[in-house]
Order: sequence, then C-alpha cells, then structure tokens
Amino acid sequence: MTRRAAKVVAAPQGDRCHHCGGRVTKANRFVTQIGDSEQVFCCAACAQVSTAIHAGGWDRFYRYAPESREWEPPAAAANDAVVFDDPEYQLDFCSNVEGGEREAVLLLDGIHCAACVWLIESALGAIDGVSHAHVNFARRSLKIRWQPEAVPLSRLVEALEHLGYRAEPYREDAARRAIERERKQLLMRMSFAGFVAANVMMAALALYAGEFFGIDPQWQTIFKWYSFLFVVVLLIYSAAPLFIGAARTLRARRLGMDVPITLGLLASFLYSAVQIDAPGNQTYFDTIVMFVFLILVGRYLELAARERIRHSTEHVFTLLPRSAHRINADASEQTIPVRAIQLGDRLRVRPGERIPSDGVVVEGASSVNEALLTGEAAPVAKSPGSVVTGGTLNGGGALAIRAERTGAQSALAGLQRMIRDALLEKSRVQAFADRFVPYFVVATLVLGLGCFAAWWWLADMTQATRIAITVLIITCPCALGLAAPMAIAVATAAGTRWGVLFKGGRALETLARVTDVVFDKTGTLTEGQLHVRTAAALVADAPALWARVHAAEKMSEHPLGRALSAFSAMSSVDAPKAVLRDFQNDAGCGIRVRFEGDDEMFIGSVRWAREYGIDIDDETQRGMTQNINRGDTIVAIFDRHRLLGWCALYDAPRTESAAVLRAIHKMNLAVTIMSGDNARAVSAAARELVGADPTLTIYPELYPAEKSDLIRRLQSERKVIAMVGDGVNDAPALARADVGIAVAGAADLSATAADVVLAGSLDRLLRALTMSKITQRVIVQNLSFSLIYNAVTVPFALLGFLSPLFAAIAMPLSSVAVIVNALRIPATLKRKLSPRPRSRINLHWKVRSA
Amino acid sequence: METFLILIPLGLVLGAVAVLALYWAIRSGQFDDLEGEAHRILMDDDTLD
Repeated sequence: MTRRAAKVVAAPQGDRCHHCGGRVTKANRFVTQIGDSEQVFCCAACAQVSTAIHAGGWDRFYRYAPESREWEPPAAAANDAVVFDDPEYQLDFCSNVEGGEREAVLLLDGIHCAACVWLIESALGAIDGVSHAHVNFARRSLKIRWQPEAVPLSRLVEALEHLGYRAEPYREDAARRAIERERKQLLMRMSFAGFVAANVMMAALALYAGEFFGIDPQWQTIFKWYSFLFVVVLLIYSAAPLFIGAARTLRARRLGMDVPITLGLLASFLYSAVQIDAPGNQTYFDTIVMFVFLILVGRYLELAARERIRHSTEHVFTLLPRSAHRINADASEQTIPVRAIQLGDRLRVRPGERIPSDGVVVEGASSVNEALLTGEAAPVAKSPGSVVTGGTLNGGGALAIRAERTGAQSALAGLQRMIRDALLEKSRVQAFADRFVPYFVVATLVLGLGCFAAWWWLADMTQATRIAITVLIITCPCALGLAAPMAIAVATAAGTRWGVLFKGGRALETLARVTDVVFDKTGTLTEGQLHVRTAAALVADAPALWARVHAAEKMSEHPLGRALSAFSAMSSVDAPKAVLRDFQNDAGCGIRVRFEGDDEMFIGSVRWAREYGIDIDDETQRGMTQNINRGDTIVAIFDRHRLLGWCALYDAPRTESAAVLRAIHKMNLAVTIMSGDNARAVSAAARELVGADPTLTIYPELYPAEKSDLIRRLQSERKVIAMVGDGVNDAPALARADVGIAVAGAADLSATAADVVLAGSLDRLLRALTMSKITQRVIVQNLSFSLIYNAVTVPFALLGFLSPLFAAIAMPLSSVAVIVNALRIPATLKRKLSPRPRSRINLHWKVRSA
Repeated sequence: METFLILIPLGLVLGAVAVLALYWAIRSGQFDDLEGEAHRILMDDDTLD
C-alpha cells in the first residue's frame, strides 16, 4: 500500500528499505537506529522486524538474504497468539512425543528465501525449551518440538511474528493427505521403474549382442525369463496408475491418453510372453520398461511443477481472524479461537480488527469496510441492529456483535462454495491432448484390424495375429503420452522465473485459445487507491490550507480521507502545523473540524457545501464539471462563509494498464471491463486507458454473483474467457472463467480461485499469453511429431519387418525428440519476452491511433 | 558363464537394497523439500544441533 504511493513522489534512485527492499518515498520514510548505523525503512513493520532481528543477534540474515530483494512488507504482529495455548485449539495440529515434549506443525506466511529458513530455525532454536525446529521451505511449513512446561506455544508464535512471519496451524485434511500420498507413490513407482529399466536393459544388451555375435540358447532363455519376471512386477506395481486411469476413462465412456497406452503395453507384453520359448529373440520387454519409465518421469515432473506453484500461491490465511473476544455473562472478555464461537455468543470487535463471524451489531457504532463482498472500498456505517459479515474489516469504532451464522452457514463459506462448484465444473473440461486421443485410438484399431484381415487373406491366421500385434506395439503412444506433460512441466517451471505462476497444465493450454479478456477495473486496471488529480486552493495562503486539511484527515480511514491526507502532507511541507481541537464525522456528508482559535472548517461533498449556502462561482463550477465528466469524485473544503478550496480525486490506472490493453487489442482479443463501480467512473477510466474504442464493452455496477453470471453468459456464446481480477468479490468470476488470472496483491481467496497468478505488474499478463501460445505450439509440434513417427514406422510393421531391436531404437528416440523439443521452451520464451519486440508493437499502435 | 548364476542374484540383492533404501528415504520425508536443503548447507555455523 505504502509502496504504491512511490509513483506519485519520485524517490531518489537506490533508496530502498533495509528490510524488504521496497522503494522508500518521502511520504513514508522510517529511519531507525540498527546497531551502529541508521537504516531506512519503508514502513513501521519493516523497522520493527529489523530491530527484532538485530536484538536477537541475527544480523547475518541480511548477508544471506538476496541483495535485490523486493518482498511484501511483513504483517504487523498480532497480539492474539494466546489462542495457541488453548488445549482444544491444539487438538488437531499438535501431538505428544517422547520425553514429555509436544510437536506441532505450523504453516508460515512471509518466508521468501533460504535466509528466512536460517533465521526461523536459529531464532526458535535459541529459545529455552525448544528442542527441534525445522522449516520445510518448499511447503512453507515449520515443525517444532518443545517442552510445554518450559515455554508455551504462544511464546514461540509471538517470536515468529516479531520476526515478520505469521503462523497458522497446519491442519492435515483429507485432500492434503491424498495429494501428498499421490506424490510419494508416484515418486516410488517412478524410481522402481528406473530400477527395473536398469536391470532389463542389461539383459536386453546381452540379448541384442547375442543376435549379432551368437548366444547359447540356454542363456537366451534365462535372460528372457529374467526380463519377463521384472516386467510382470513393473506392470503390477509401477504401471498400475496407467491401467486404473484407462479403466476409469473407459467407464466414463471416454478415451483418455491412458487407454492407448494400456492397449500398447498389454499388446507388447502378451506378445512377448508368448514368444519367450520361441527361438531367437522376439520379445519387447525392454521397450515396455523404457516406455513405462519415461511416462512416469513425465507425469512426476508435471505433478512436481504443479505442486510447487500450489504451495507458493496457496495463502495460509483465511479471511476470518484466528481469534475472537467473547463477552461473558459477567461482562469479562475472553479470547477464544474463531472455531469455538457458538450461535448467540456476544463478541467484541475492536477498531481495525476483522469481524470474526456473521452477526448483528448489538452495541457501539463504527464504519466497516465491506470490500470483501462488494468490492467497494468506501466503508459502510454500522450501528445497533445492522448486519455485519464475518471477514469484513472494522473501522474506527468498537462494536459488540451477536453471532448469528457460523461455519458452513456463513456468507464467506457460501462464497467459497460458489468458487468450489465453479472450479469443479471447470475441471471436467478435457485437456487438448486428451481431445485428440479418441481419433488416435480409433485409427490404431482400424489399422490393426485391417492389417489382420489383409494378412489372414494373404497368409494364415498366425502370421496375421503376429503382424496385427506388432502394429499395436509400434503405435504405442510413448511420445504422445509425453508430448503434453513434458511441455507443461517445462513451461510451468519457466513461468515462475518470468513472474507468471500457472497452477495447472489446463490453464496453460486454455489461455492460448482465449477469445475474450475480461478485466475487473478497481485494483486490476487501476491501483484501487484514490489519488488527488486536481487541487485548487481559493485562499491566499495555500500551504496553510493544506496543513489544516492534513491535520483534519491525518487519522482518517475513509479512502477519500487517506488520499487527501497523503496529498496535503506533501503540499504543506513548509507550512506551520495546524492544531486540531475538535473533530466530528457527519456520515454520508463529510467531516467538520475545529482548530485552535475556534476556526471551523468542513471537508465533504459539494452537495453538503450547498446545504450550508456556500456560493460556487462559475469558473470553479466549470473546473469541477470537467473533472466530474472524467469520473472523478469532488471534495469541497469550506467554512461557514465561502469555499476555501476543492480537490478532484480519482483511482489512478496502473502505469502499465494502457500498454497492456493496447497489446491485447493487437492480438485481436475482445476486451471487456466490468466493475462494481458506477457507469460514469468506469467509462471514464476506460476512455483514459484506450481512448474512445467502440470494440470495448463495459459492464458497470455488478455484484460478485453478477460478475460470475456475466462470465457464464459470455461462455454460452461459445467464447473462451480469461478473467483478470484481484478482489475477493472477483473470486467467483475467476473460478467461473475458462482461465482465471489473479494479479499481484490479490486477496487470498481470489488467488486460490484463479488458475494463474501474476507475480508483479499487469504486463505479466502479456507474458502469460505469449507463454501459453509457445507451449501450445510445442504441444502441437510434439503431437504431430509422434503422428509422423507412427506414419513412418507403421508400414514396417504392416509389412512384417518390425523387430524388437528396431522398436528398441525407434521408440525411445521418438520420446527423446519430444522431450528435447519441450526443453526448448525456456530459450524461446527468453527470445520472445525480451523487451524489444514489444516496444515495436506499441509504437505501431500509436501511429495508427494518432 | 557360470559366474552369472552368482552375479545375477547378487546384483538383484544389491538392487533390492538400493530400492528399499530409496523407499525409506521417500517415506521419511527426505524428498519433501528439495529447495530448502540445497540452501541450508550454505548457511554455516548453524546454532541448531
């Protein structure tokens, strides 16, 4: 948040936060004494964390951390770690181990690099009572063992949070366990296939050498049986998932990639088994083994790439806070875990806290930021009787609420259910390579049967069977099975280096077919934060006026107030500070303040100023109208007699938005902008970004569910939709879209719902599109290559020339060709994504639009 | 050639030992974090045992 302001105030180059590496601006510059030297920080949280690191004697952290870091600034330490000591809370992530110790697994947010691993392990290890602390960097999790009598768990959690890492219990649910088990089993099956491959190859070498140099028939038989036994175990153990997959797709009356694989494997195996006792060597055991091994390697790499992305995008924190303050019957307050909230509980919500449960306000007044539900950043006033929603952010006042809906009945759970349903529906869409399989299987079977019939007519039944089976063997889609997984695994890994995180192969493939790109406005195309566009002071001493505005808005939580505060701080640097004596908030109108010397001042809407009989002259009115037409919000500053000044505020577009939209336009993709904002603001923002573009479609004033419905409507017109969004209110639409893309800084829930996460500015979207095009091309190349390979080799089989040696050379060769082709992806990406070609595109567009 | 009768079973036994060792390693979580361990070795004089 603070870093975005950097775009307004140009900071001296190279002034970066000592801790997180973020840009330091004039408006947010924190200088703190660390050891012997003064260091500059971008925010108070960074300074606190750095002080804690120095106090612990872990200064070496900064030597280990990467020089060119740009981390999210750490979250401020919460003070509710005490819930970690609740025995009921500990139930499902802690266990007793030997020596009277306890062991817990925590998920951590804020681990960026290996230096963090060192810091966490060293800092926890130094606490008395901790016997073991081990961070799993890939999974961002921490395993600790401690003596509960010596130190409570809450102290360890506090220590972590002071260092800038937020902890959450790692609850092992069924889905997580299943995924982990699948990964381990695949790794074991793959390793076992490698082991079998090594042994069978050894035998195969002897058999092939024997073909040329002669071999004792007795040894030939022994080697064949040796291979046979290995292959039986291999098929039962390592290839089991392939067979199961084939059975599953067949039962669903479809043909997946596993079907032709199974067909080829079984044909090769049965044929070879029958041929063991025949003279010479007519067995294909080595081919089977290599085939299974390569397929499993491809699948494992794909799974590993996907898992890595999942761990780095899956945020630890749910939108609900972890604790709530229950008001007991005797009016005392008690901190309890959120999951322990009962219907009807009275809960205290302090200023700045997230509301822990859906409920009704029973006491107090405050304004609540409900951006979670509406996407609208302006806070909503709450007083006794108002309904509040769990997960929304309380503003400046304390509230007491009565819990009305918890758990699965809550609004948040409903939102999550909506996302899950959409994702489930989407997962039924077939991958490109799979859509291609039925034709392949049918072609193979027709070829095999045709050849069987022809040879039966030409020769005899035995000969016909033998040749039909060799056709099945040679068409066994080894390269075909590797074509997509290898390309996807390589592209996914390369994507992380370019700041594009693809969560699965399907997104990579679908993005290449997209016809429409739908953008959310606030927070995606724009920064989602208001800035002052025009400011006019109608009094002689302008700095003094801004100093007063600053004093009045300094503590404001309203987005308008925050923008005014930032602007007035810069415009009144030299003016003497104004001293505030009285402050009053008139909900819906503005604020009324009183300064020393009994000067009164109002900051609020123009309508409010008119109610006070303030006269606005024509020139000012013209200026205001001009800004209103651009979609700005006008704030008037006045006293009881006249207008003192006014400001026009707008949500600034991200610097790269216009270029991105132009480039997408250039790719012949339809662009749609949707927003929860009013029509005037949205079309003004669109005009500002792309000029008057008739092809651009705008849908203003949408609720989250309506956004999702809109996507569904577009999809029913046979369009393939990519949706780009950031907020929780976009999450259902992101899940619904063919490809959901979450931008950097997106809310946790939308990052979960999306298929692609952009780490960094919006121009990563162009990279994602290019990347998917390249990957798609490689997949198509690989598929065509394996088809050509079949077209060349099948005639040999048809004519009865196929031998095991021929298969042993040709089949791995085709697989290697496909793998090598996939490995070209990173280099192609580097060439395509280098800045020069893109700037040429932009230039061209400017010429045309001028 | 008769040495094969000893060498093949011997090779199998050694191979089986390797496979079992790998299974033990996978089960005990040594393949869970392939990134962290690569860096950990560079951060010397760990205060942990």
